[in-house]
Amino acid sequence: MSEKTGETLLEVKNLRTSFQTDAGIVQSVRGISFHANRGESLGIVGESGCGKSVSMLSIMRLLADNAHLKADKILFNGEDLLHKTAKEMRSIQGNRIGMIFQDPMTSLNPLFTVEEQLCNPLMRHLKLSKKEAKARALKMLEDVGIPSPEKRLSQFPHELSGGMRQRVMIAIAMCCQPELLIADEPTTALDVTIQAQILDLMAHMKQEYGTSVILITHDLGVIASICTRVLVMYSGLVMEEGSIEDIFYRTGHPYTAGLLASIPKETKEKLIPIYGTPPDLLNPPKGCPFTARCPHAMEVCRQYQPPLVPLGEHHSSACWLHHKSVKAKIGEVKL
Amino acid sequence: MAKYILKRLTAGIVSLFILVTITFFLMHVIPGGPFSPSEQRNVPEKILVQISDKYGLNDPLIVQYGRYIGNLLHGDMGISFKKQDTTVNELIAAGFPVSARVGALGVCTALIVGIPLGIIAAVRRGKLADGFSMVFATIGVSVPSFVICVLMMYLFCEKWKIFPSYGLRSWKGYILPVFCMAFSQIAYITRLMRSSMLETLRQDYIRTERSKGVPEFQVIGKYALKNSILPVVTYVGPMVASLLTGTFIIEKLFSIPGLGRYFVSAITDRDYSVVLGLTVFLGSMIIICNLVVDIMYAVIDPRVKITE
Repeated sequence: MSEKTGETLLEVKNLRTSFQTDAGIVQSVRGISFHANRGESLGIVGESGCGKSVSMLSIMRLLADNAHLKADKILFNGEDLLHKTAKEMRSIQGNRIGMIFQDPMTSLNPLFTVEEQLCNPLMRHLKLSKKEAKARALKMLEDVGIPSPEKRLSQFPHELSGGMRQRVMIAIAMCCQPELLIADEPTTALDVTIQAQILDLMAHMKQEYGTSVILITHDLGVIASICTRVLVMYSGLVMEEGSIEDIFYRTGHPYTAGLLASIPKETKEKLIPIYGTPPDLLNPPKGCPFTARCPHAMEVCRQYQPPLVPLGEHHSSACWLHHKSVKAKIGEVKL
Repeated sequence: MAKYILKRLTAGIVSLFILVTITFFLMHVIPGGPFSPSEQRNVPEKILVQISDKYGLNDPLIVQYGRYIGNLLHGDMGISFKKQDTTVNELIAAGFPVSARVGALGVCTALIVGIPLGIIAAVRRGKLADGFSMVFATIGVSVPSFVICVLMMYLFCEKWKIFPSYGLRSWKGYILPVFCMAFSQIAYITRLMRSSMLETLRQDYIRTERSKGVPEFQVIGKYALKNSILPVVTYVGPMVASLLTGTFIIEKLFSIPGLGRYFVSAITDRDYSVVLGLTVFLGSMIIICNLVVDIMYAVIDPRVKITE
């Protein structure tokens, strides 16, 4: 798999997802495009409700019935996922794309043993016999660092701690050696010490299995520890995209700058929050969604949505400050 | 486990004792007695006193109570005041198998129809199948069973002459009573199953099952069903007890020689020993069914621990 590193594995173009609710149509994702390369870790950051999870659930087709999904294309390894039937998707779900969810306390079925939950995808996708599946399940539990796996296999989720359960989730997601692992805030619900262990484990699994990772989080610290490229999302749109260095040292968007300023650091005395709240997705604003909270907001921001402006080879930002017409007028703005 | 069951049964016997005591005294609060004169029956006063004396009905209540409990402990529930030469034990032994056969079929029908109907309604939420089963369930809950019985009898016995209108001489005789008995139960179970399944389908672990590529049929029929069946199990426990001991309306309308009709006739007849006997019998059935439900809980949900 290593010779293919760098190839595009997942390509998403103009993904739009909305939900029909009693209050109206909620536009959770409003046209995002991105790609993930083989062997890399892509981080997606943004605050709650910005459409990170929904966009990933859209790709996996795990949305509720009231969701409406549109896109120009969703290509996985060159295959068109958008037009696959539910049955065709099932041979990809859990097999070629694995997924880990936020809350390990509720993500495992409380009435079935770890063995049942882990062996099901093995028997289904890899066509293993019950015995082979069990042997492989044991090895997976060992790989994710669960002590006495033999005993754990026959236990129920409530007999495991939160960290253990997330390890089991990782084992389930990774058991068929997927090409892509989508981790939706895998550490948010865990203690800080366990968080570090789980992130280490994910990095280790990625190495060992050569899996690409898409990591969703609202914690830039987590992104920094395992990702190579970052997508910053806000209000269902991509605000900035770039390498980890681009995002941290050559920040190109006021929202990213705001997120960075609100990370606790030892040297900083005071945390600077981003004031205000994200816009209502029932009725998204016409212009840039960040206008109301942006210290650099201009008239043009209110009226028109900014295009993604390239700032470097892989770095781009959706902000009018970088647009050449604005630059010509007010010059370079330090974020 | 054995220790737990023994403990629960002991507690059950205590409950039964309290039940018998309350029923005994309440029963005697009702004016009249088994031999009270009525229009049809004009018995001279002297004879009345003599009969009452023979059955000990003139003794102080507390003495009668003590005697009854003493006999009950020997398994003797007395003789019927109404039915000649019949003990209550014989009455139950003759009626229960009949009621239980109809009741068991009713329970099975209710479960076999109600559970799938509820699941379909939940899965097809807001669609035609959901609307249809909810209309059916509402009818089932709100239309009294005697209306259903009479309607069925009119259609199937009178108009089309497919099924007999009384008795259980052949399998055909069972169909209408079982259907009428199950009708409202199907409605309850459908509603319970639907709401419980809807709740379960919203859970994170169902999304996890889907993310593993598990087919929808298995997600619902296996992983969601086990999680959503508990409310139905809870409801079915007491339902089994009451259906197995017979239903007054159905046994009366279809002339089924079961136990159900005595539950009402014994009270109007002031047939004290039958009232008490049936109370003890139904009470024991409920206690046993609830015990079975609690054990089922622990079998289904590993988080439920049976504490000894």
